[in-house]
Amino acid sequence: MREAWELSGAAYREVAYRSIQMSRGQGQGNRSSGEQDIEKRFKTSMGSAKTSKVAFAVLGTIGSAFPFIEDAVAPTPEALISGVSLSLAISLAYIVFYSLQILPSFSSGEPYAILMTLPIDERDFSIVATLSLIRTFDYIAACATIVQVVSIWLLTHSIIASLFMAAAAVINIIFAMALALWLSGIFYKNVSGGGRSKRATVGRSLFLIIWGVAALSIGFIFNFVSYLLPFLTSAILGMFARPTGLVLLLLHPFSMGFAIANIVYPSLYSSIPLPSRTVLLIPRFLPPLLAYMATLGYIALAFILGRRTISSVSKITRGYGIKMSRPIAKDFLLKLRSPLPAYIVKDLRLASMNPSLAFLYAAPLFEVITLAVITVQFPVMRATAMIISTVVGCFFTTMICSTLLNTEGAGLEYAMSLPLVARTIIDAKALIATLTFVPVPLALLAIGLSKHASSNYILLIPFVELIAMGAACLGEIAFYVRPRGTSALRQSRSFSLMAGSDIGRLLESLALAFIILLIPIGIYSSTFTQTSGHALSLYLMLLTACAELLIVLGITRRVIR
Amino acid sequence: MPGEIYGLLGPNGAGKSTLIKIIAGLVEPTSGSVAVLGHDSATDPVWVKSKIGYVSENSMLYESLSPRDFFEFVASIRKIDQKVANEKVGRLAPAFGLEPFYDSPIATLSMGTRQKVSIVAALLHEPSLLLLDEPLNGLDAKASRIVKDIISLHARRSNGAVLFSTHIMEVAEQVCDRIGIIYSGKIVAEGSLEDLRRKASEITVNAIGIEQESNATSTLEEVFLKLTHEEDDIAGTVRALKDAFYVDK
Repeated sequence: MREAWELSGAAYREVAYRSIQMSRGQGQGNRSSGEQDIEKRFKTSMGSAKTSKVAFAVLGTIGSAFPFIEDAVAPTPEALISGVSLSLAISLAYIVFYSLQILPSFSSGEPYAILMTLPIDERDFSIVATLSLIRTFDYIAACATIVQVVSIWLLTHSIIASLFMAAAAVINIIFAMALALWLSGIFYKNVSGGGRSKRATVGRSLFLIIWGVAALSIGFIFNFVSYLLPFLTSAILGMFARPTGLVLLLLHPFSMGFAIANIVYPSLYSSIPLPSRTVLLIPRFLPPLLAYMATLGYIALAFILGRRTISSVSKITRGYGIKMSRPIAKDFLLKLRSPLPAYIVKDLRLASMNPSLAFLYAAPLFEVITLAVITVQFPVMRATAMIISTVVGCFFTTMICSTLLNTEGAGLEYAMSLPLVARTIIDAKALIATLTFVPVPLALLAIGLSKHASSNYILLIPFVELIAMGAACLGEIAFYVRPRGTSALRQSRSFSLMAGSDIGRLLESLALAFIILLIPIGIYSSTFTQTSGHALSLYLMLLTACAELLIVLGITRRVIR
Repeated sequence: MPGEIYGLLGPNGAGKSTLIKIIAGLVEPTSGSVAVLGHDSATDPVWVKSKIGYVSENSMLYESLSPRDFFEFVASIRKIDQKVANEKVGRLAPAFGLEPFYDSPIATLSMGTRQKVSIVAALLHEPSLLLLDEPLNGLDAKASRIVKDIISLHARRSNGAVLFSTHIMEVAEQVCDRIGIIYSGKIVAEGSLEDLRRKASEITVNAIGIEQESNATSTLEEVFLKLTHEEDDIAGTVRALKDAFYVDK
């Protein structure tokens, strides 16, 4: 087993390296690079993989512990149930999401090609491959499990409950592993398979939107949990009034939560009074019985899924992996465009086939959902609420901007051999990013019209900020790829910076974008503070935003050819 | 020169790919300059790139795009007329057997098929200079033959120039008008095959100091090894391997 673990480390490093190279745009590696370049790239990639894994482990640990806070403050059975359920749900989400970032190259089976040449029998090969898969999320799973078990021990001082929690965590991990593998298979079958039929295109777009919304949600999981927790806790109390509430007992991870709560509070169900108007009398032994039966069922399911996962892993790594259907071309016709639209279409197509860029399609929908959640607490839309909401939308878009810099993939080298001016690339990416912001003013207009707005002028704030957003995106991207030198050759190669990830430059670019965005808002706020006039404030904000756009356009045209 | 096929030969790490990348504008030279059709690639890189068709050694393409999407992108950036592009791709794609792969992501294609995509993309705009870095890598016999024929046609009929690097001596012998041998970043010999044979025989002196007669039937491989002074290295390496692994019983 020790040897298998060591071998799995080599396989995992290959999987992680390839996945990071693919997402960064260095493809399978450039064989013509010097040895030092390759070594440096390897070390940087493995450093990134480790950092990312540790970051996810930390977030996953905090996320897994967070739901238990309510029970720690005011211990009640329902708080324990919702704490356990949400904790398991969060750790599952983190494991699945992180694994999906690494699984792209795993699904290809290529990292295991070398291992197959070694004298290893099939069973041992399966063990090595499965262990390498486990290594993709080992930190996250281990930290989450420890936190969950320790939390239950500290809250309940019950050994049985703690052991039950440990078992629940292991089952959860198996589900996460199976789900991650299944999702990556679906993705690569239905999205990476290609095809231009309407069905394929629509299906791909829908899948990407859902994927992207889920991806973006991971980052805001704490916000969602703090909204969900009180709702869930009170829902559990009302559960016994409705037979349909018993469905919760059968669902994972609620079945585990109920089972653990029943261990800690043995008289839980008998102590809860049934309302007098209950149509269908629920016997008091039924809820715990259902919870335990569901748990046993999930244990059996975990066992089956675990075996199936090992079998799938073995097939994939031996090259029998995911069968992709190849659509046969009916014609060879090309639809040509001028360079700028062609570049935009290329970026959108790249994003439509890459799960790590799926958020690009989901961002507009996600922005609208987030704005709706934020503004629900404002009964009247005042300028402050409008500005806060607009700034949140701006934040998303600047993040999209910086990530668009990494869409090039392995094709960046080829793009550099084309007669492309750096300006075309900058304009294309700035335009894409700015377009993702367009739903923000529209959504805020709709929200403002549906609520009572303190002034009609404030409904135009996000539209004016759209102009500033254009300037900010242009400035951010141009600042990032600005050439070090004035020679035309250096200028034309400046976008080669997109091949690497210069964190320092990225942070500088983001800072510039935020400054550009906040200046018009600052002008509005300060003018309104002094004059209390929305019209004048908006007018000055508009002038500032237009001036910013002209200045950024002028500078980029002069500096970058 | 227009209409000329120039082959670049050299051992691994000699600088063949680097030289081709410098001409293509992908790598900045540490010194010196490159001019393509009278235009300096440092001061006018966009114009130079518009005249060049480039095929890299390991087909670094946009992996998420299909060949169709990729050709659309390349042809659009190069501002090729739609009718011309459709006509060209309509002939080249079936010639290279790309029908089953035309709408599949490039990431799912084999190395050889990717190379074919790269070659088709390089030919769409009828470049004045075709730069091919190990173009026959991963290609099957049929595709290799098509590429060699296209190289010859491109030079003879379109009057375009071709510069390609290869390890396959037979290809260079068959196809090239001129051959340059590069070693440690320097061109050590240049000329037709006959010129190179002559140079190789001029520098060969056998162990007892008698100049050998020029051998008119020396293969390019033999000439290459002589001009890069690798003959002695090879003899030494083979001797060492023989002593290590193949002990006479």
